Amino acid sequence: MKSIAVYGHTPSAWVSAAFLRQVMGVDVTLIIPPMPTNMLDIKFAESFSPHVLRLMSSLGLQQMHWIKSCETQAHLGTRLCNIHNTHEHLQDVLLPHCEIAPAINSVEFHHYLSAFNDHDYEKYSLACQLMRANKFVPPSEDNNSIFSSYESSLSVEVISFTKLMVGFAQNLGIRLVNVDEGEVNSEAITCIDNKITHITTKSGVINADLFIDTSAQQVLQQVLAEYDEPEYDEQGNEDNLPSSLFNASIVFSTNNKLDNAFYDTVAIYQHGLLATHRLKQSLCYRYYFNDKQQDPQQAFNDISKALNIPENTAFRTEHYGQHQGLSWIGNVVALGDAKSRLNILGRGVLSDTIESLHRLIELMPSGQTLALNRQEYNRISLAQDTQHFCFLEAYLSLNQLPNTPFYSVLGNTLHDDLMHRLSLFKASGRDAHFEDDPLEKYQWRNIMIALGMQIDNIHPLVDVSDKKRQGQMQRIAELIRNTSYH
Amino acid sequence: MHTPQIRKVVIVGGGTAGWMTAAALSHFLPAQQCDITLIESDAIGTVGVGEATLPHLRFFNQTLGIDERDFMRKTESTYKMGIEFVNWGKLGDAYIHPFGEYGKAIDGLAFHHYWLKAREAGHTHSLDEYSLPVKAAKANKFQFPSPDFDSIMSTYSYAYHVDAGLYAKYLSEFSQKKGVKRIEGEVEHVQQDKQSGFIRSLTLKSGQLIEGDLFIDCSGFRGLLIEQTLHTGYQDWSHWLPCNSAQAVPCERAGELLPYSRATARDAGWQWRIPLRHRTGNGHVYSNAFTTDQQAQDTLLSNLDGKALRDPIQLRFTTGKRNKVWNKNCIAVGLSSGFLEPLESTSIYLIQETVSNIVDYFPDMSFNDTLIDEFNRVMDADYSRIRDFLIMHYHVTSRDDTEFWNYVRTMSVPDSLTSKLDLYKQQGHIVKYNDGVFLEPSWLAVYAGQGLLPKAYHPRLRNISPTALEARLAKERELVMQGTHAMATHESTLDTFLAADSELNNQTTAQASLYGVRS
Repeated sequence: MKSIAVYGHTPSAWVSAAFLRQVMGVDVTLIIPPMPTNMLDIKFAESFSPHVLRLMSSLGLQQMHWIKSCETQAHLGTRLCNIHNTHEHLQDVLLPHCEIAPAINSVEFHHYLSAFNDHDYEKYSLACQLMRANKFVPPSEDNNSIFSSYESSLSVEVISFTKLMVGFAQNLGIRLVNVDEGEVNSEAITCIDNKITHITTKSGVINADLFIDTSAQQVLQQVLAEYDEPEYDEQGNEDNLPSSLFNASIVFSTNNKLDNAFYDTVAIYQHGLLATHRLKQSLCYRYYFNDKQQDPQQAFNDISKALNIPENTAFRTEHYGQHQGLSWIGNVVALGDAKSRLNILGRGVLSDTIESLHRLIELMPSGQTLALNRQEYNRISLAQDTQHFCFLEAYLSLNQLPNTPFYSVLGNTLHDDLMHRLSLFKASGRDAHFEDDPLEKYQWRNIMIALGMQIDNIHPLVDVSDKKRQGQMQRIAELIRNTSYH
Repeated sequence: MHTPQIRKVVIVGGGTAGWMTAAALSHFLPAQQCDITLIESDAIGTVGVGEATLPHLRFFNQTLGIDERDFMRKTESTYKMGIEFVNWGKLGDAYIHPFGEYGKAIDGLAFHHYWLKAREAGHTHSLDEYSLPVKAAKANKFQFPSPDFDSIMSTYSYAYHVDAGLYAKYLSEFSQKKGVKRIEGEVEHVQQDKQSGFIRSLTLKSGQLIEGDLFIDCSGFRGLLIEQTLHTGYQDWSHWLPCNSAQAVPCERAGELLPYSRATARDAGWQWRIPLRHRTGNGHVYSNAFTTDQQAQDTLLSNLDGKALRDPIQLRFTTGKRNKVWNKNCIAVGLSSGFLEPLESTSIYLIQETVSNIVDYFPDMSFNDTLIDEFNRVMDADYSRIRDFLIMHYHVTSRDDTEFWNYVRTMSVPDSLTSKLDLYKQQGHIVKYNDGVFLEPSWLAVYAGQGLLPKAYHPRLRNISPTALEARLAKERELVMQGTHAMATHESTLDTFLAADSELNNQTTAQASLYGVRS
C-alpha cells in the first residue's frame, strides 16, 4: 500500500486524508469536487463521544490541538424531547454517558427501578442531576470519587474543526486536486478486476492502491457496485443490511446567548428528528428527514416556526447515500456521507468516519491481503452498522410517534436483533449480547429505561419486600442529592 | 406483573461444579426466598481434572467474600502466571502462555507489529522478553500485581493451582454455612411433568422424594438430568479435538514450586503437570485411536517428577457440548454441559461462567423462552470460542513425527478459525472479541510460541525509524527486566503470605479477565 486517494469535499474527506497520511505515512491525494456555495457560511456541530475522543488521540490528534478553536463545549449526555408522547415522564428525559447507578447485589440497577415502579431514574444519576442543574464538573480520574461515575463528550463546531484539518492536511504534504462537478464519472474512472486503477482528471491521472469515497453520491463506489463478483455473494448477508430512514438533513444555527446546558438534544417532529448541539457561542441544529416525503424548504419552515427562529435564517441541505451496500468494495471504501446515517442519537458523521478510519487502519492491507482484510472490515462494519441502526430504531419504536407516512415505515418491521433485544429486556430486564456491538450496555439500558419500558418479570434476586434494598436505593438518591457540585 | 419465584433449587452432584453452583446461589439468593439442596453420593467419585485455573477464579472467590489466605491454606494452592507448552510447535520447543500482554501498544497499534518489524531488520530478542509474567515465571518468581496502573507491575494477572477436591470441600463448608442442605444419596428416578416435560422431583435410592422448581445437573459426563432424562442431545467436536481419553495420577512433589502449569505434547496427546504444595497433579490426555491405554499409562508414569501416590484413574470423554446447556427447568453445569480438554485450564472457568450466567439469568417460574434462548446463545459462544482456541494449539504445528500430529496438522478446522488464522498469517491481525476469555494476547502467545509468524507486519510501520524502534523496544525490555528483578521467588511469596503472622496483603481487586491492567 503506497498510495491512497480520497474523494470528497466534506469534513470527512479532509479528516480521512489527514489521518491516513499521518498514520500510514503513504502518499495521499485528495480529490476535491466543488463545495456547495454556503458550505462554510453556516455553522454546524457534532459530538465526539469519549470513545471517539480516545480514537482520535490514538490516531495522533490530541484534544489540546483543537479544543480551543472549535467552540468546544463539554456535555454529559443527551436530552430526548419526545413532544408527541402522552406519558408525562416520557416527554423530557436525559440519557447520561454512564450507568444510571451501580448494580446492587450483582443485579443491575434498572431491575430495582422496575421492582419499585420508580420512573424517576434521574435522581439516582449524578450526571443527570448535573445536567438538570446546568452544571458541569469534569469527570474525575480518582476511582474513589463519585465524580468518576460518568464521562463527558465534546460538542465541536465542525467548520472550524475542518479548517484545522485542512491546515493539518496541507502541512502533511497531501496532494490536492480540484475537479469540476461531474468530472469524476464512470468514464474518468478506470477499473481492472473490480478495482479502480486510476482516475483521469483535467489535472492529470491519479493512481492509487486504495480509494476512499466520502461523497453522498458514492461517485467511486457506484462504478464498482456494477460488478458482480462471486466474492460478494459469499458474504451472504448483504440482504440483511438495514437502510436508513433518513436521506437528507437541513443545517442551520443561531447564537447561543442564554442556553448554558451541558447536553445535546434530540426531538421528534412530524416528519423527522431534530438534533441540537450546544457550543460556546452557538446553537447548531440539524433536522433529519427523507426528502422524498418532505421538501427541504418546507422542512425548514416547519422547524423554524416550531423553534421560533426567523424565517430568513440561512440553512443548508445535505444528502446522504442511501445505497447501503458493503462498506468496502474492490479497493474503494465508503466513509462519511457515502454511508447511510444509521444512528443519529449522539453520533455524527465525523464520529462514524473516525471509528471507520480506525478500523480501516487496523485492517490496512499490504501485499496480497486485500480480500481478507476487506472481508473482515465488512463483517465488522455490517455488525456495527446494524447495532447502530437498531439503536435509533429502538428510540423511535419505543416512542409514541406522530401518525405520519414518514414514521409509518417503521411499522412492524423491526430488525431481528432489535426484536430479540427488546423482547429479552421486556421479559426479563436482561441485556442481549451481540458480537461487535459498538454500543455500551449502559447505552441500551438507558434508552429502554428512559422511554419507560416495563420489565414484565424483574430479576428474581430482587426482593420487592426487602427494606434493606429500598434503603440502599434511598441512600443512593440522597448521596446524589447531597453531592456538592457548585 | 410478577410471576411466582423459584423456591426450591436442587443441585444433583457435588464436586467442583456442584459446590461452586451452591456457593454462588447461596451467596446471591436470599435464604428466606429459596431453599437450595445439593444431592451427592460418596459412592460416585468426582473427576477433579480442573486443578489449574484461570484468573477469573480470583474474581469468583472475591465476589463471594472468600479470604484468599484462608482459601489458599485450605486448598494447598500455589500461584499460576501461565501455562508452559512443551513440544507443541515442534519437538524441543517450549513457550509460556502468560496471563498478561506482550509489550505496550504504541499509538493504538499492537506491540507485536513493532517486534515483527524489528525482527525483519535483524532484531534477535524473543517476544518473551516483552512479557513480565513470562520472564517472572521462567525465573520462578511471583509477586501480587500492583494496583498502580502506571506501573509495569500491574500488567499481569494470576490464578491458582488448586486441589479441586479440597476446593469442593471448602465450598461445601462455605455453602452449608449459608444454608445449603446437603443430602447424601443417589438418584434412582426422575419424575417429569407429563405435559411440559419439566422435571418435578427426584427419588433417591433411600426412597426420599426431593421436589424442586429448578434443577442443576452437576452429575458429570453422564448428564443424569440434562441427557438421560431430557435427551437434550450433544454436539460432537471430536473430529477437531480427537483426544477422547485421559489418565490422571498425583505424584510426590519434587523440586521447586513453579508458578506455572506445564502441558507437554506427547505422541498422541499431551501430559499436564500441576504443582501444588502437597503434591503434583499429572495427567495424560490422548486419543485411543492413535495409542493404547497401556502405552498412554506408560508414558504418563515414566514422566512423573516423583513417586506416584496411587494408580492412575482412567477417563473417557467425547469433546463437545450439549445442544442446550439449559433445557426446560434444568441447567447443566460442568462436565454434564460439555467437555473441552483442560489444555488451557478452562474446566473450572466454564463452571464459573455457567454459574455466573445462572445468577445473571436466574429465572422465575415462567421459565421465559427468550431468557433461556439468550442464556444458551451466550454459552454457545463461550464454548465455540474456547473450542477454536484449543483446536489452534493442535493445528498450528509443524510436527509430523506421529500419525496423531499428522492428522491434527492437516485436518480441516471450523470456518470461524480459518478466517482468524488467515488474517494473522497474512499480516499479524488478531481478531478481537467483545466478550470471551482468550483475547489478543493469548492468541499471539500461542501463534508465536508455536512458530507461526505472519508474512508481514502492519503497513503503517513501513517508514518508522529503525533507531527509534530499537530504542522503544530496549526500553520495554528494560522495564520487564526491572520488574522481574523486583519480584521475590514464588515459594518465598507463598511462605510469607501463608505464614501465621503474615503481614503481606494482596492490594489488587480481582477482575473477570485473563490479563492485567495497563494505563
